[in-house]
Amino acid sequence: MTSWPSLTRCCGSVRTVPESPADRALVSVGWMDQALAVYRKDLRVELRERTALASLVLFVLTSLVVVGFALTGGVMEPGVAASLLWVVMFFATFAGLGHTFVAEEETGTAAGLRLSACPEAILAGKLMMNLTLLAVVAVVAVPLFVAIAKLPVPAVGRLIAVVAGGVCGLASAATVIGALVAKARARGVLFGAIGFPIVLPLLMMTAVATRHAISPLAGDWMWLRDAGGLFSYATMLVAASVLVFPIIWESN
Amino acid sequence: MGWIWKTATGFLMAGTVWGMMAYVRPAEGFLYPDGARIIIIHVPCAWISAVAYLVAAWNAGRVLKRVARPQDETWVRPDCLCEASMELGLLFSILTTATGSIFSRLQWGAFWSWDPRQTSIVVIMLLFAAYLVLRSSVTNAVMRARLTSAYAIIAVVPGMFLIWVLPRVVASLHGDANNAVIGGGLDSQYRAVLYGLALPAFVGLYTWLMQLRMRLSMAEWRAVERSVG
Repeated sequence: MTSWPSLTRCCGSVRTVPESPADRALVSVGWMDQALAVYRKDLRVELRERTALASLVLFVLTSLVVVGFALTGGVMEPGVAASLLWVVMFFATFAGLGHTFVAEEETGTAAGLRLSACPEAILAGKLMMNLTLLAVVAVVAVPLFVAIAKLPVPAVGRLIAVVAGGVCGLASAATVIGALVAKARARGVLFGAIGFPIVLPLLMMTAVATRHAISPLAGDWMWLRDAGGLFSYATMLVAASVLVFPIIWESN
Repeated sequence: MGWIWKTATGFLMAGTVWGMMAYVRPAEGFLYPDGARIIIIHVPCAWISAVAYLVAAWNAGRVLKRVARPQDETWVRPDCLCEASMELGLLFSILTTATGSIFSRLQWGAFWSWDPRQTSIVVIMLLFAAYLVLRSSVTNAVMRARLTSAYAIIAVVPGMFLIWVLPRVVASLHGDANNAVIGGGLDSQYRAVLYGLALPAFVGLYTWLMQLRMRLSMAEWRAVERSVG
């Protein structure tokens, strides 16, 4: 995968007729390889610059400090705590994840990316990148939040399942909305405004699911239903994104 | 021949008002039986919001299918239809929220109580508004058609969830009316007025408003076309 830009579109025709055998080998670069290449590229850029991750983690830390400060030793009700956690996660998502597509447009690399891989692979790569970023944020934020709010966690596995579901949903919404917003004006404000109605059902579900996960009263299998709902919502969003992403991505 | 259905809409609307104010009995079992008459307006508004959303999403799909060849300009009409329907959806969802709040104050004691149906209508209202905001922030017409239609299609996921799923899986104050979109617990007089008069009247009103809005949009499009190219 050293020179990954393939000469084909995975769903279209060959653009350039390859001449050397090495080039011809590139033609067969599969969909998954293209997606992984986009992901690897983004990851490398992120590891070099650390703009998105640093701002995301710093944002989450700041919000959690504010929460802890406002709480000052008190104990939060599980329902309130669950909602607060996801409010923080929502704002972190929509403050940081728009970066993935906006950066491509701002640095002028979008055209190059457009030529190099098929739209679905780009969507998948960006989605993986956003999932990674948000997973890191969740790994930092959730334990810290549990500690600050002094939440009892009877079953860690349930909480992890629910948080993973919520992260998947938020990342898939942020990816496609980010792609939309990257093409519009007034991006910063717009991203939150048009993203909010899309993720609100998800936020309602995550708040309830997290409350169930940290409450000893919830039934044994409640977490499975909750996490299942979250993953289904994420799946639906990804399905809708795959349908419309090529049209968003190709427009200029 | 347009005057026939427009006149019919007028008569049906008059009939709806008559049905609401004079024909139906004060609903028994409500705190303010006479206040329940507002249901006759409230329910069709909610229906029309959902219909407006479906029409908009359908037209968004048509735009995405045709906008691959922007020079044909076959995407202009569905794009305008989508916008018009979103605008009317915003109007009707605001009306639903307003009439619902009034009834909620009478029946449940508060203008707003975060009932699942109240939450869902307010988020649907935000969806309509978000579409229009996105629309105003893109200048190029083809690009605007692509981006806003894509958004309308993505928004089907939360829209579906909010209209058909959420109010059925969460306990709601809307009672029986909650299990079916139609008022399952209402008596036959209410149902007769709702289905016989209010629903066709509101569908007629929606169609008429769509037509007027479309005439304006197409005129605007032609004017811009002429001035630009």
